[in-house]
Amino acid sequence: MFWRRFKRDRNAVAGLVIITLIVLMAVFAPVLAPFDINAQDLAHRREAPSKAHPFGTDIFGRDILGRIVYGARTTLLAGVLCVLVGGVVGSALGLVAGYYEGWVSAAIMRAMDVLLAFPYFLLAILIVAVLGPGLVNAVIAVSVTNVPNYARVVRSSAMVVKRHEMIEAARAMGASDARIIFDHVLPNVLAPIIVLSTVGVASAVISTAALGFLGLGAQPPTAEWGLMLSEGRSYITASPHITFFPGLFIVLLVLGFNLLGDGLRDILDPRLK
Amino acid sequence: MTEQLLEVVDLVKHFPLPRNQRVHAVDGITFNIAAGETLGMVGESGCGKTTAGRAIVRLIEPDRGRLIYRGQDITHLAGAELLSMRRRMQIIFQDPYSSLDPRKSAGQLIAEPLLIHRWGTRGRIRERVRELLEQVGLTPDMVSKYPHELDGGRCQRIGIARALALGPEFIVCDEPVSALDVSIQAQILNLMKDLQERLSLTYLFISHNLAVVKHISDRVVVMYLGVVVETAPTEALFEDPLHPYTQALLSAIPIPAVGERRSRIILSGDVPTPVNPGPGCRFHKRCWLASPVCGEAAPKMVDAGGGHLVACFRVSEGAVIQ
Repeated sequence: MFWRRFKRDRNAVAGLVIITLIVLMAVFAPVLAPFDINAQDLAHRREAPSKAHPFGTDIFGRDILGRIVYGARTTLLAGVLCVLVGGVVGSALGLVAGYYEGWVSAAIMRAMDVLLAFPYFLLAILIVAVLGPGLVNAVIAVSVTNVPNYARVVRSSAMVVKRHEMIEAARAMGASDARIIFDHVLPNVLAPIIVLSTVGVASAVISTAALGFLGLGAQPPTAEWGLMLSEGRSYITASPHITFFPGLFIVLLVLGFNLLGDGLRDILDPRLK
Repeated sequence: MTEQLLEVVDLVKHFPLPRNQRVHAVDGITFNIAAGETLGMVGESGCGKTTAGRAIVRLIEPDRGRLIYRGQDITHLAGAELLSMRRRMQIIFQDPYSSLDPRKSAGQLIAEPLLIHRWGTRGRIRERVRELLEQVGLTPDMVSKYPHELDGGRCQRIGIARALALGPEFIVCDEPVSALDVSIQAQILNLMKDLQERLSLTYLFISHNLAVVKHISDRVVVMYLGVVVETAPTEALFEDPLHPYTQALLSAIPIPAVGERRSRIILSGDVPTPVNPGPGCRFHKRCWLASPVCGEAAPKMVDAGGGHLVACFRVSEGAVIQ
């Protein structure tokens, strides 16, 4: 049922293909780039794409293709981690807020409103400024900015599910609150969580890359697409390939997750069934 | 049939509204259910019968009143005591599609109460599920089916199997057949009757369908706007309704015979709201027999003889005032 509908959605399939290719690239990085990607070759700095270096070399003469291939690991991992941490924490808060109305819900949602009151990228910069720059802190920062989105969406879905008779049925059986939340409410609010997460990876990738670009995320010599973009920006007119390729892959990855996310939204929306 | 299973004493449930108003959903109802009987509960939409049913199985906390189950006050049970009470008291819901989790298979749905109450090992639970499926007339291959793959009747059978899983003695049936096709209603009703005999169950059968209630009940409670207006053995109620509201209600049943005519009592006026009702009989504004006293005080329940209780000023102890 799900797969039949999925296969008919060409955009979602295209998105899945792009993501799969980038994931495979990250998994098989050592095979695709069997050399030290951090090795500098100052004699061959800023070389245009050639047979030896298909994507050219960067300002330290490092192979850009190799760094893109390894950078897929960092970028994907950071994006997925942000969504995982933000999604789990946000969904849990949303479930609790949606299931228990009253002051618990009010307290959680007001806290979320505070987070949402800041432009989210400013909030991420603020958190990194407090924690100090670095990839791990960038992931934490982006995760935190993700939390309110999940909390809001999950809360409203949970409030709808909670009104169902099946919840009363579960209570009549003697089910505990925890059982009702995890066994009945959560599976029924999974669809919006999945959609939000898929689109969320795309925005998390952009955010971590942007933090990397600002020097607040991954630190040199880590291969990370946002950081690579930033390293090449002084030479953007003289050697555009240094910024072009990391930028291209960021766009591809974001596009892939957005296409997949939009497709899943259509497929999982019960109103369209 | 004389042993009382459940006594409902002056049960009250009000729902607050903005501006200090209150919906008097259930406003002091009192009745008994004897072990092994089926007590029908009828009334129009919004008369509080569903609220009463939910309060009895402790899904809604009543504001006042007591529930006495086999001599034990269960109104305020909590924790482990409430949990063990839930084994003996179950509920069947109106809409099987919304009362069954769409993401669980029939087997998982029926096994859930067994898992919650740590009923036994996985193997024994699997066996019990098969036994329950058979008991409600479903085939063993239904175990892996999901609610959306089954029709309403089969889903309701799953709901019944789930209610029976822990071997309860009392089941509140909240309009269990009104969401079903007419052709399936009879099957489900017969199944319920059959199960009652085999498992010596007691039912509180809530419905707005008088024909269904007449078919299945031993006694009937008639509710109107949160209060009980009449209680009687089924036959006595349908033969000789004493409360004007019951009379009007019964006159609305279509007669399945050509040429037969009956004077239909058409009530005038709107259904009064249960929001902050005034003093007096709840029915007096629409009652064609009302006298001034009806608007001043609420009539008490009196026994008109033979267990036929009615709350109307026209009826005094043992006699109807003409």
